Amino acid sequence: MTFESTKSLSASLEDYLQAIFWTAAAKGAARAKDIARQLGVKASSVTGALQTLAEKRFVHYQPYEAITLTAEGFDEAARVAQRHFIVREFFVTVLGLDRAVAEEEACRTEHCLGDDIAERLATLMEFVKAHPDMESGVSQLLAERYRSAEIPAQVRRGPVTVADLRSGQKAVIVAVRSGGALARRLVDMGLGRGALVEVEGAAPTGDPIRVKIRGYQLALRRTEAAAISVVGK
Amino acid sequence: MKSITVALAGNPNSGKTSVFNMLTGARQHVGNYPGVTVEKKEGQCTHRDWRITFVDLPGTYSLTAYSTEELIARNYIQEDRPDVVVDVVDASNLERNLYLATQIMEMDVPMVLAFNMSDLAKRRGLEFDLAQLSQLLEMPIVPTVGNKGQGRTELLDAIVETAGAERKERTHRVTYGGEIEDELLRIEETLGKADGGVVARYGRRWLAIKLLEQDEDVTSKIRSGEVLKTVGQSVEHLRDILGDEPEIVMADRRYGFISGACQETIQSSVERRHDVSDTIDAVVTNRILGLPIFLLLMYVVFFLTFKVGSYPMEWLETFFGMLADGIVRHWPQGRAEWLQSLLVDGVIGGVGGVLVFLPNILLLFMAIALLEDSGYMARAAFVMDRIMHKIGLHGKSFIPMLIGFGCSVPAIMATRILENRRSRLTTIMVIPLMSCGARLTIYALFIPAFFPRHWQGPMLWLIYLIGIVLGIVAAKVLRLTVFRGETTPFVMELPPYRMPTSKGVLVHTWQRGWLYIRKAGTVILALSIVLWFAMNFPKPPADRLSGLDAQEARQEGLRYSTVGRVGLAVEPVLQPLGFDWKIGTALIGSVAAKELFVSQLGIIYSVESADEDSPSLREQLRANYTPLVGFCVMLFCLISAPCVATVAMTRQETQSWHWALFQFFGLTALAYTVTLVVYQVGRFWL
Repeated sequence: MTFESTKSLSASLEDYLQAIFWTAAAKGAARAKDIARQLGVKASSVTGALQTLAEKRFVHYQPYEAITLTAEGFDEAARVAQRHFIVREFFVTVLGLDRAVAEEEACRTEHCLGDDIAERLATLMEFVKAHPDMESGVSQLLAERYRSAEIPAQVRRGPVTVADLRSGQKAVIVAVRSGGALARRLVDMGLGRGALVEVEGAAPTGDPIRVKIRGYQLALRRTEAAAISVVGK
Repeated sequence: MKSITVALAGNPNSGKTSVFNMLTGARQHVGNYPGVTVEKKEGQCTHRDWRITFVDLPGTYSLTAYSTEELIARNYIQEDRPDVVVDVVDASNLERNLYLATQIMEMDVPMVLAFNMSDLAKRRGLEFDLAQLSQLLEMPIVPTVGNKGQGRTELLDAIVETAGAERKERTHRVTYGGEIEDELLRIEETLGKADGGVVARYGRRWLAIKLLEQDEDVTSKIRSGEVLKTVGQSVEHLRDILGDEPEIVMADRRYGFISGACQETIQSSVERRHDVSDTIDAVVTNRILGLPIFLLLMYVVFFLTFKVGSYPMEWLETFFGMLADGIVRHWPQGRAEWLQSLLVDGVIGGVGGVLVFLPNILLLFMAIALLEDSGYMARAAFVMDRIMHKIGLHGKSFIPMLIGFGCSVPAIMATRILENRRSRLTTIMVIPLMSCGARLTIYALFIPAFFPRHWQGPMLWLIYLIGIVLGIVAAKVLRLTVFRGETTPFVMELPPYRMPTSKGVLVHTWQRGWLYIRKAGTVILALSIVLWFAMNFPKPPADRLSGLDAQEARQEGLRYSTVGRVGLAVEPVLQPLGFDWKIGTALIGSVAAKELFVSQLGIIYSVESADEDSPSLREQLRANYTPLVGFCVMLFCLISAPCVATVAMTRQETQSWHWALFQFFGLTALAYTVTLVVYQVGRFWL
């Protein structure tokens, strides 16, 4: 998969887009005050940013009404979220950083990083994961030198699917990649584009898994979960 | 008095059944939808001066053509046009429940929304602006608590009001967005010339929506090539610009519509991330504890069914014994003795023999109802799915198989929970291999007769294990050959845990138990009578019986009867298995009911009142057969031809004699082959 380089948005607008993306996934739509609270800014600055995003046709926005993303807005937000996810997991897996620190650093880095760099990081991360010797060597070296003993969590390069998520991890569904009856069934059950999904656990045998979707619990096999592409939080 | 018909729709686990029971009380009629074995329940009630007939539609999440249940629900609404459709929604899980409502709305029928489990929703901290939601969806909304009987009058009021009201055009509806709406319009415009009848019946917009979704059932109803061509172009075009199947995008848009409606009308006062249900799940589906908990619960179910159930079973046996004795004692001497025998040996022996299992069956159904109503059943399927999936079945298949250890008849009935027909048929076919309670009487006679005490336990285990292993192999083979095809996706809701209500459990237990009783009263009664005739006629001529005592006369009578003759005739066929005509005759009798095998052998070996504890019969067996033959008899009884009640149930549930006979002869052939190999190999070794 190749990322297009559409760096037309400023860092702060990307943050706004992210805030709408996650709020809309959790609640169906976002309100200006939710966004202001989440980003720690004043309501007046939100209005301005939303107008700009609306001009760029990324959001549907009318004053005093719920805000939703357009199809383009959703794709753009998913791309930024994906970049954030890769960078953070790279920091954790390869560099052995603490998860909280990695999250904070990723928030800053994601905006100035080109998509091709993210792509390369993902490739490197995948390579390290695929070679256990190298992985343990790298993490040992970093752990010895920087005294951070965190053992890297399981990570794969995006696009990730629900089957790749850790227990307790949340993600937004980007697409259901499957045909016919199964895809329809999944979407009918609420696993559609833009919905927030959380993996709750697995059966004692490791398969099927339990997820929370639209406020209820659903069980599905890993093969079915692998048909659902997501952006991890 | 005005009469109206009301259909009840809703998601599984929405409490639809409890609302149906609340509305109709005990006046219910259970049948099937024509041609399929999806249960159709009807009930009646009168409210003010209205006579209301309720039809309980199958519980579904959606209304696609992909599943039988969904198709039935949809066709009922479209073709039978009920006066009102009541959609029962779980108020504590509104978004997904309203998804079905948006699809019923599109069929343009008068609707009422029953906001069920509204007490639970309140406790979860959800507050609804029902007035506004009702305005948005353009239908009355009535809060109900089905299992507590709350909201009955209000719901009935809303139903009759809606039925009597004038029809209005909807102003709010799901809009699918510019591109899709354009194509819908295009399709709507081309519709009509060649398909006037279809358009009049289903409505233009609904047809256009279904056609764009590429719904097979609706597409097959359209004759006009022009329409189909337009649809093809529209689908192509939309696939291009949306990058996905129109069907999927449209489903997303419906959820979008619901999100919008919920956004404005629901307030969540408490943000509760983890509730009690999640905590229970963390334990019950735990990596280490999950399987032990499952096994423990299954053990409890079995203990309840067989150990606790054995006491009332004894009472029933005593009762039928006394009934038979009473008839014999009060029968006028020397008059119509054949009728006495028919009543005592045929009817009471046959039907009574099945009815004594009623306590076990009721307890088993009660245990299952408890597991289902509490929400554990879905978790059990979740825990078992990996294993069942390996043999080509579904996580839910284990439930009927488990019941099969009690009795195949209710087990086959329980396969209704399986959605996929291939999975369901496979499960039905292998259920008789789960050794049922009746076959236990055969093992209880044979094992002590041939095996030393310390081998008796392991022997019993071995027999059960052989059945399970054969069941697994047979299921796998069937799924690879006769029932080849994709496995059903395991996308199953795990409903929140709930405290089962005693009323709900009793109603469930009774509804299933009644089917069993009805079976005993009809099919089994008829077949018992037929078999009695076959065992007693023709009578040997008097000169053959001269000089014989009563025991010998009975033996001679059986030998001379239809069953005895068939037993003698098949002896050469059974010889390679080590069986003689006596075992053959008993085997034929066991087709009526497996436990008859024991009493038949008793008659043949002239043993007074034979049962599995009879020492003299055991001695006779030991004197006549080797342990190998004893084992082979058990093996054959385990695998071979299921009893007539099972055959009748398979016929009913598959709607075809074809599958019932396939099961009957397939299993008999399997039994013959396995027993033949075991006997011949065993003879060589031992």
